[in-house]
Amino acid sequence: MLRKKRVRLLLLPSLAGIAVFYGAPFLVMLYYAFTENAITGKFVGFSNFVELFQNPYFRLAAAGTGRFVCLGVPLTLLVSIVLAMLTAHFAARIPFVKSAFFLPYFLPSATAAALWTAYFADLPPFSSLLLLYLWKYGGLHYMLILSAICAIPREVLEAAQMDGASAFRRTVSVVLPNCVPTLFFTGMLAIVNALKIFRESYLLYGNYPEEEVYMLQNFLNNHFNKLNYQTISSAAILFFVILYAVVYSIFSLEKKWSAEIW
Amino acid sequence: MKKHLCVLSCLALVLVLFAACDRTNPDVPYDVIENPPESLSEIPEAGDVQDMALCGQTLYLATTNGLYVRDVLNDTNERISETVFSVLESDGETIYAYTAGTNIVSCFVENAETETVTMPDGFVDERLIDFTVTERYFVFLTNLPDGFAFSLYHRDTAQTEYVPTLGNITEIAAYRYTENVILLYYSANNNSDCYVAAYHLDTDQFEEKYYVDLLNVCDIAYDAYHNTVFLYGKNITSGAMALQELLLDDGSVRTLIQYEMVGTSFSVCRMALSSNLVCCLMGDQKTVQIYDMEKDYPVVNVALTTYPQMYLQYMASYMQTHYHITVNFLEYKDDDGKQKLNMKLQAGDADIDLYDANLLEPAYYVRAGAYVDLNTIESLQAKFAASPYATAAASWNGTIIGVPTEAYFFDSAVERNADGTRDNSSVEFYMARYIGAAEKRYDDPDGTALAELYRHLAEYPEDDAGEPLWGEFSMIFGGLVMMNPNAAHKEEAALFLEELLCLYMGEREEERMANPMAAMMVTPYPEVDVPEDVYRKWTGWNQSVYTMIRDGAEEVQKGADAAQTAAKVAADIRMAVQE
Repeated sequence: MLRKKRVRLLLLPSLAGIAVFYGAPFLVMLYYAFTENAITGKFVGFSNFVELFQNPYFRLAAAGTGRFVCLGVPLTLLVSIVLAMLTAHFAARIPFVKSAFFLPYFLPSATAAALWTAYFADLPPFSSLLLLYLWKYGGLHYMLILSAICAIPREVLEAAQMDGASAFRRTVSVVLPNCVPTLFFTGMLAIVNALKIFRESYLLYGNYPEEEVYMLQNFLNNHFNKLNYQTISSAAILFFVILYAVVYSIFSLEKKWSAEIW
Repeated sequence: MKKHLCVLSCLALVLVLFAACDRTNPDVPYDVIENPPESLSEIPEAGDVQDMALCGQTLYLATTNGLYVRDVLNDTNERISETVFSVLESDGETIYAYTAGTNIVSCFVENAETETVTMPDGFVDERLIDFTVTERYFVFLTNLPDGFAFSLYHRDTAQTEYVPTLGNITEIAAYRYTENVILLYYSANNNSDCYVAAYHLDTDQFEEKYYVDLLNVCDIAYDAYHNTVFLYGKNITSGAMALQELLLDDGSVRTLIQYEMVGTSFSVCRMALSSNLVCCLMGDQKTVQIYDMEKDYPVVNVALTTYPQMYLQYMASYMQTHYHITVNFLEYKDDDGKQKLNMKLQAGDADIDLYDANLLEPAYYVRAGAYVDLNTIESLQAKFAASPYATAAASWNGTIIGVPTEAYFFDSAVERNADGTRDNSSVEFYMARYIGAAEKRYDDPDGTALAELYRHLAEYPEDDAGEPLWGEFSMIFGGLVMMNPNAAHKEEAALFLEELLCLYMGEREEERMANPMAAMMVTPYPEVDVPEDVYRKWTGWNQSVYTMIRDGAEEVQKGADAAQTAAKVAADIRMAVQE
């Protein structure tokens, strides 16, 4: 009981921070989303949301973001898993291998954008951005998956081998199930990182990029500069709801799969 | 138990660090002196005042006839010393007095001399500029042949020290700051750049530096309670004596009050500060004006995204002189500043009364409802009714969004430059004609007119020849001063706008022409018949779109196909306008 109290007490500053810096702004955002503008404060119901859905550029931005996440996240996971499998045997002994993949993650966005402008200026914007995403964040995802693979007890793999399991079978039936929690976590991180690619996108293509790389952040950023806080708030709430649904689904899936495996 | 101790120690450490970082002095007493007079008359027998120091409500005056004390509230005075002191300094309890050319500092407490400190002969040069007292030193600032130098006298050990000259600094004033840090005011680059800096006497290092401008400063004082620096000097534009406050927390400067110049020289003006009072000695070396920090003086806060232009500076001094309203300029420069301004307006902050939309995109402020319809203010309604030009320049959807400033009327039919060329303003006209930023309107979605514009610009890159595109037109350029709907000082702001309108409508010509800067740099509205179909630049103005159009024009000038480039740019413009 005392321990619980102590834990709650220790959590208090963090919770207070969340309430002040996330909770309160979220409530203000809700207020903005249902008012005509911040100055009159006139309640307008869902008309801001209706206007948002009618806005072709919001739909374009949402589609662009969705396309990027749907393509980028599985791709980065796939590449990271393959690379991790291939390098699992010697990566632990040669630290440089891990560092080499991980280094781009530390590169400032401006440097990454400059590099991309110099070498990949001719690529179509969407492909270029996808490549940049894989290069910059793939290393981090690879590291996480590699750590999970390396943490699988050697005996488990040896037992499978002694039972006559092929390399493919060992991967599918032993390695991947053991990595499920990490894969889910990495998947979540990959989604967050896919949304973070806006920094590079902005540096490469500015406020008004080609339609294929026009994303929600472009939309939000431009409306912010135009003092259109109602649109931003409505879009942010929608974005929150969608993201919440995605995260909730991922957690539910993880729970279900983990239960099935173990 | 150990864990508790550990957590508590961490918290204590954080608190100590906070306290160490805090530059304000919480121990400074702040007993409010209520209802002080606005000014003090001269003491007939006292002669010219050379310096002042304030201790609570007691004002010490170093005059040519000796040292006087004056009770600010009761207006009584008494001579407490016959010695003629040239500089005074107060640490809140003790008054330190010094005469240039001597080696004695006299200390006074509660109207009586309590101590004298004798320093080595010849320690302080006669060319004394200022004197101040820190916790450890008496600091004398002198102007030696090879530059400025500090002579430091250690108050405990009686040791003396010279701090070498300070490079290119040409004007300097020193005042007490904290411990052994003093504040300096100095100008550099031939007096074009002026700074207030915190200077550490022990390390000879500048600790902080703040850019200040628009004032020929004659005295500075530090207010430990508010952590601000008071600057007293002559306003370069208006010629009035101004008291400004520099907030050390963010480096912003605001004018508190302006006094009409009395006497001929501003350099003899001095200032003394204690609790909520700031005493300002005028140029006649006799009259003292008192500024009360606790009193609400009428103010108008004008937000700017650049330095205050001439018409604003002129208006500031006009409002002070005629209405005793102080105009503060709150600068929100660069992109960060603009975002901060936007957020403050949208958050309903009341500290901004007016904002100059000259370098902003007014249409978006209109769309966001961040303006007051000036038609709803009776006094302004009448003025706008009398000025069709101002009405045409600032009306939108039946409302008047602001007061047009520096409004330039462009008529493509008559516009001719002196050398026979013409300025077609084609890009601006394209934007005004085809874009309605507030209503998300773009009338050239496929870029047909834009292609025409590009062909025109390819032929005449300077846009100074050929016939105007799309026929004859007239357009109003210029900025707007708009009112924040949540302004705290609406009455004063309305008065400001009314006077601004009067200025531009030519109703204050005599006064404007009497001010050489305003005569040269403020242009009243032109006397023209404004056609109904006049275009206004602000309605279509969007900086990103302008850049897009210009970039496209450059590509076409380099050989790109006009139609293709225009179609591509038009798609981008559509996105920028209609998103």
